[in-house]
Amino acid sequence: MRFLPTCLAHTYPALSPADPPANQLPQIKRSFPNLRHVCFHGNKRNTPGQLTYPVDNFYEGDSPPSPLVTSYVDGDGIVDIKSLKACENVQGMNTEVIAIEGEEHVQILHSEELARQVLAFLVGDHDRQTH
Amino acid sequence: MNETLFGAPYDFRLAGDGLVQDGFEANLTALIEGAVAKNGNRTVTLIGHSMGGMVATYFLAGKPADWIERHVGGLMTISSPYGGSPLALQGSISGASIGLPIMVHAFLGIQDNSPSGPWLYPSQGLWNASVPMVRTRNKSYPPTAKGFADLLQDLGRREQSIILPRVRNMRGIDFDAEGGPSYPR
Repeated sequence: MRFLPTCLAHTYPALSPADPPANQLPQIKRSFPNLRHVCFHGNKRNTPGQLTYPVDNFYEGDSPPSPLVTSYVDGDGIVDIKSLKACENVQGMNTEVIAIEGEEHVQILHSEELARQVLAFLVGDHDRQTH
Repeated sequence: MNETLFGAPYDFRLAGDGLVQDGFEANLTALIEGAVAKNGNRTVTLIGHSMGGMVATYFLAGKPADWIERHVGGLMTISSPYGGSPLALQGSISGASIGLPIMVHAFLGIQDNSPSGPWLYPSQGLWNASVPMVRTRNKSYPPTAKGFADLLQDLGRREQSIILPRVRNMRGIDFDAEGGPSYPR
């Protein structure tokens, strides 16, 4: 396996507010063919669930107000656990949810346990030809 | 040959439909087909972190079943907010670093008008609509369509107000379905 990936060339054009209306966009309802899906997430981190801005309106002062987190929930420090586990709702896929205990949203990428699980999936279970 | 790891950076400001329009989806399709061809017709595994998992899921929702069968053997998502996140609301209001080493206020100028913001707002089906998710001294914003619309109006985020209803249900993925986000069957 090469460790430096070949990347898509990608530019970042200015966003246009003139996007087409919804009825001109693809609205495709179809099934996934029992695709295997592994959904990794961290947990047991205080994660913001409710934000309070100590202002009367958002335009007070010269800079945007900073919020106070007035309610924490379980999650990975960024995303709450209900949202992380909502991958189970992806229908038509064979979804397996795996919690990497105590890991944070970004730091999970440095987790040895995650690396081990990913490698096991790639090497052990994903070695098939189709054409 | 022996090239088995490929990267697919996307414009994080865009929601799923925008990634179709800016060519990302076509490029990713070509990248996957090329990877399969280069590797003896072995299917690929898509791996996405955080919003990248949402992008991968949206991408697959737009592909025919037989194309997926021939090209994609698996999907791995890591830390993906399938039910959105309150911090996406913070991103629209005052900027949110989402765990990255960035200056929050500098990031606000990008987040406050990006379609990806409303795309990642909390799923209405996962949260108690009677409990405000954002509050000021004199107003509360519950995790409901009206709460989000009121918030964007009070923030003066016209573009995100327009985008909001569109990005909550695309390709049969209903982020606000009762009981939590619903994906195509």
